[in-house]
Amino acid sequence: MRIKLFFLLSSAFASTLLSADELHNINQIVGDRSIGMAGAYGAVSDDPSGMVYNPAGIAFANAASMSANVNTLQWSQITYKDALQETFDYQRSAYQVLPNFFGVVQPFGDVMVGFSSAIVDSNQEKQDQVFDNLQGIERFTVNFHNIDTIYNVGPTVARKFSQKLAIGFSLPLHYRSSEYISNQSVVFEESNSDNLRWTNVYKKISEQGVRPKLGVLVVPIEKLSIGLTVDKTLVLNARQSRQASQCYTNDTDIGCSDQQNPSIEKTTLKPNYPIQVRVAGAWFPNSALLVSADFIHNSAVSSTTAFPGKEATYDAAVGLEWYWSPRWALRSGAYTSMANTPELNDLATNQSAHVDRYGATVSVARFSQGSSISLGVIGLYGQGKSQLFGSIPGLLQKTTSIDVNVFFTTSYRY
Amino acid sequence: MSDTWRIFFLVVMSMLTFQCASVPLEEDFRARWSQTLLTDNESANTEAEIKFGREVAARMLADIDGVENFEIQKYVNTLGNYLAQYSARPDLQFYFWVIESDAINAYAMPGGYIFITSAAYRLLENEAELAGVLAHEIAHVKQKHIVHALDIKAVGAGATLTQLTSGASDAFRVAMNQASEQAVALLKKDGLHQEDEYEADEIGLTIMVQAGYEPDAYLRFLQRVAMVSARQLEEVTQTHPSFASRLTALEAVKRDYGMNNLNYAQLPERFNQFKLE
Amino acid sequence: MKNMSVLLLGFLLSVVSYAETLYVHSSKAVLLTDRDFSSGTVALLQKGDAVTVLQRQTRWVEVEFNAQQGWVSVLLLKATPPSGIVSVIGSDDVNLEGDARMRASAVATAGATRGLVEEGGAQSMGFDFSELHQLETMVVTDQELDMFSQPVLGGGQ
Repeated sequence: MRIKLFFLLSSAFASTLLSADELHNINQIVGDRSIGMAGAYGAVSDDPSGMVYNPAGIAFANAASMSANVNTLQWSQITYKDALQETFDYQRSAYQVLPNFFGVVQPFGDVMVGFSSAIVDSNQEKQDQVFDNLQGIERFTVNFHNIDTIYNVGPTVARKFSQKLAIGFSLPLHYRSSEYISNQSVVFEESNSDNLRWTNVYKKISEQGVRPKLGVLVVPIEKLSIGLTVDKTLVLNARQSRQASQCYTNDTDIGCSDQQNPSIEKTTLKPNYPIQVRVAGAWFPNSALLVSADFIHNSAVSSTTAFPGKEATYDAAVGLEWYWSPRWALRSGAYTSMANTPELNDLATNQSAHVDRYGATVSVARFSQGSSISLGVIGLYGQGKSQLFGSIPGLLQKTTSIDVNVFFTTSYRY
Repeated sequence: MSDTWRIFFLVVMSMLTFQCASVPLEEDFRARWSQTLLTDNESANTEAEIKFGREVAARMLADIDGVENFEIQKYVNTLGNYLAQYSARPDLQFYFWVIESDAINAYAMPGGYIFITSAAYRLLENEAELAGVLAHEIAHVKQKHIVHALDIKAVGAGATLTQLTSGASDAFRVAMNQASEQAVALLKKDGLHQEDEYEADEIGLTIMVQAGYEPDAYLRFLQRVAMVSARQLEEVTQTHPSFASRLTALEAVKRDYGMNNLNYAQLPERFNQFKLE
Repeated sequence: MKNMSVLLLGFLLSVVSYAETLYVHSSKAVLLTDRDFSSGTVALLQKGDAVTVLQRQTRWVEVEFNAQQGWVSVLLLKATPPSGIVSVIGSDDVNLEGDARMRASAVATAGATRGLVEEGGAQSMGFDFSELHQLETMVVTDQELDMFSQPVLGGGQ
């Protein structure tokens, strides 16, 4: 057992540069109407939220100027079953309040111009656990905090060439900021020849780049809209640093015998992001009902010395918007968030978690002459496997992730 | 990578095929039910219309004064409000004002402010004729002709009237100022679209008939106006279609609506009690 | 599956068609036997009466009201019930009561609006608001209108 825990700790210490929610390509569902429709919005897209989904769509905005604002309260929990000594779970959870989206659109001559700010990816994990009853160990304390956020902020232009065709382009800045802190301390039982082991890891990532996105929206037949977008995040500047230190004492070595002075690694290597292709369809049978579906493909990314690769993903979203009066609408949808990692196997080491997630959302919107508000909730659930202690082949943890987001959106048109 | 591009091109190709085979569109199918809130006759729109109308009326009154005769003003207001009951604008309080002017004309400002010049008033011979003139102006208000002519959308795209009158920013205040200045120019110089005048004639005629006035009185008044001196008519001919074509159109309206031989009220006696000296 | 049923429900509800209802917006409207003012009167409709549309012609609508059928001028009908008189006079503040749509910014700028619209009363900036106020005192009561209408509806020359 003693050996095993040693391994556990050292492997946690040696974890790769990969940070949390790089493991899925579909993360935050952003936007006003779009969040209620589970992100199935690439063929609707006719308001500020559209800038994120299909820049062409804003050319069809039905009022000259529109703005939208979304705030979310998010709770997430990830449980690693039987992480320690095949008995004790690791559990990480966090609350966060995110200004999910802000956008405005405004016409300039023939061209519709917009500006949006969206948090397209944000992940937060907090762990604060003390284990008092592990075998051979008096106390094991884990403090862990990881926060990783990607912002897309920038302009969009779109032009309608006819009632049936629009093309749009957006060029938001990509900004990513991530911080990771892990503190672990082990106090061994007196009968043990080991005394104390302590490790600390701090990681920081920042990236700047652009995320060009080209969108097309066509209307092949009356009441049917088809959208297509392609985009890719291009990192222009990246900085990652990692500091690690540890101290280990036993009966023969008092003081930090196996001391590792803060080791500092730095890299300015740029990570590669997938190409995203979104194919979307929306059907508008009448003014009270709208049904939409998006299919989102993210290409595979090959691994490099600094970064692990990503597998291609195929995600889908379906959405529904139904007005039961001019003042009230119900929105609902479902989506997938598939892992961009391979399935875990029992032989490999340092494997990333593989958790496929499924989400559903429902919201109610209230309209008045120039504005609307909506309140809704998203639930996201997934099960899969992780290898928390990457150096031990075959030691995998059943992993369950649950996310609940409550969102509040407002929009104005004038 | 190659998979990604294959999907992309496949979709582009199929979209282009669709695009070629498509049918023409009639209406905006994207418009959601909630958008009807924008076009409904809501009090916010009406408020904006009234605010704008007051602004234009106050601008007009800076140059011209009302006739100082309470009885006449009261009489015109009573008749006007009686007619306005048939305008299908129950959200508006109409005001009428006889103004001192040599030009033979009448003006309709948004929100229910209506002026008739003393020269036009003097030319009237009975109450039905006055009803015809006022009903024509009420029709302009009902149809929001000025607001549309200035391309200020009460609703929908562009700077809205609600926005202009909100005074929400200096820009809107300046724009509002310009809009009311343009409205005055429209009323006194440029005129509305010809089709708006024909429409106001038609609607005005139905208003006066529903109210119980003889429609022929309005036609007779227009014929009389056509006879007076060119100087007094400069403004009205500049801002309205020719009398001959208006009379022809009015005859058609009378025929279509079955307004011939109604033998409705004209009330010259009551009108004569309120003659302008 | 569940999503599918929500979809179906929404679709069914939205497809159900209603008979078109219009509301009388003038204080009175004559229901005529034909599309012709010289035709006979079926009934006299009042403001706010709801009528069911049978058919539409260019300027006329055939409607049913209290089991009676007849024609009304299209100019007197609207799809929404008539509202009361809207007034901005007396308080040119932004009306906040009963108007949930009004934004916070409207409250903040109400003073500014007042400043512009009625500034300094009389002839300032090419506006004459004092005369406007004078003409706005010309309110006619329902009773006065009723009396006024007698000789008109009595007909004749």
